[in-house]
Amino acid sequence: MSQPLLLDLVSGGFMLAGAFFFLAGTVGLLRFPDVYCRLHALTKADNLGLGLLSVGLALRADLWTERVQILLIWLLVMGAAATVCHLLARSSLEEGVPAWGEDS
Amino acid sequence: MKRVSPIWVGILALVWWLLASPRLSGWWVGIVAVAVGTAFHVALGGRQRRGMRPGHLAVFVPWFLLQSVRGGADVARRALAPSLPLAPGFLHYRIRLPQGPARVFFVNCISLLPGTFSARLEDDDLTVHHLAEPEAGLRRLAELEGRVGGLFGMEVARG
Repeated sequence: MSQPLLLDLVSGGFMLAGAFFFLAGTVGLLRFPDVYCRLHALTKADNLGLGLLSVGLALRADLWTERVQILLIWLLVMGAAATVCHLLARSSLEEGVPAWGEDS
Repeated sequence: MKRVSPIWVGILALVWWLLASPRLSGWWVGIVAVAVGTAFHVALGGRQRRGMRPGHLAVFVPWFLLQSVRGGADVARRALAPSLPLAPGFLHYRIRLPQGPARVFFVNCISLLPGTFSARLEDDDLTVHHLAEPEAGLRRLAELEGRVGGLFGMEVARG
C-alpha cells in the first residue's frame, strides 16, 4: 500500500469519526428534554467531533504552521465552548428555566 | 497591584501571528486585537502570582484528552440510544482550590468531563449539572480538582 493512500485512509477515518460525533451531538440537541441536557450534547460531543476532525485535517496539512493553526483553533473553540456552556447554564438558572423532571 | 505580563502580550501576539499567517497584510488588526486582549487581561486581574507549571501539562493533557473522548462517547451513546437513558439533575460541590486562575481552569474543565458541566459558582459553592450518575460525577470532580491543583502547584486537601 502506498504511503499517500494509507495517509488518506487514516485521516479520512478520523474525519468520518468526527462527523459521527457532530451528528450524535445534533441528535442529542434534538432529543434531550431540557436546555441543561442539551448543553451536554453541544459541548462534549461537538468538542470530540471537532478534535477528531482536527486530527484528520492535521494529518493532511502540508506545513507545520497549518497544523499549529488547526490545534490552536481547536483549543480556542474548546475554551469558548466551556465558557459559553457555563454562561448559558447560569443565565438559564437565574431566569428559572425549569429542568426536566422538576415540578414547576 | 495590576501588572501587565509581557509573556501574556507575547502569547497574544503569537496567537494572532499563527492564525493570520501566511498572509500578514492585516497586521494592524492584530495590533488592535492584542491591545484589546491585553486590556481585558489587566481588567480581569493582570499578572497572577501562581501560574500553571508547564511541565505538569505532560501528565494533565493526556488524561484530559481521554476524559473528553469518554465524555463525548458517553453523551453520543445516550443521545442515540432509543430508550434515551438520562437521569439529569443538579449537584453541589464545595471547591477547595483558592480564587484565581486554577479555580477558573478547573470550572472550565468540568464541562468536558463525562456527564457534568458547571452551571453556577457562588463563593465556594459550585452548582454542577449531571446527565446521569451523580456519584460518579462527584468522584470525577474531586479527581479533576486534585489534578488541576497539581498542575498549578498547590495542594488540595482531601474533602
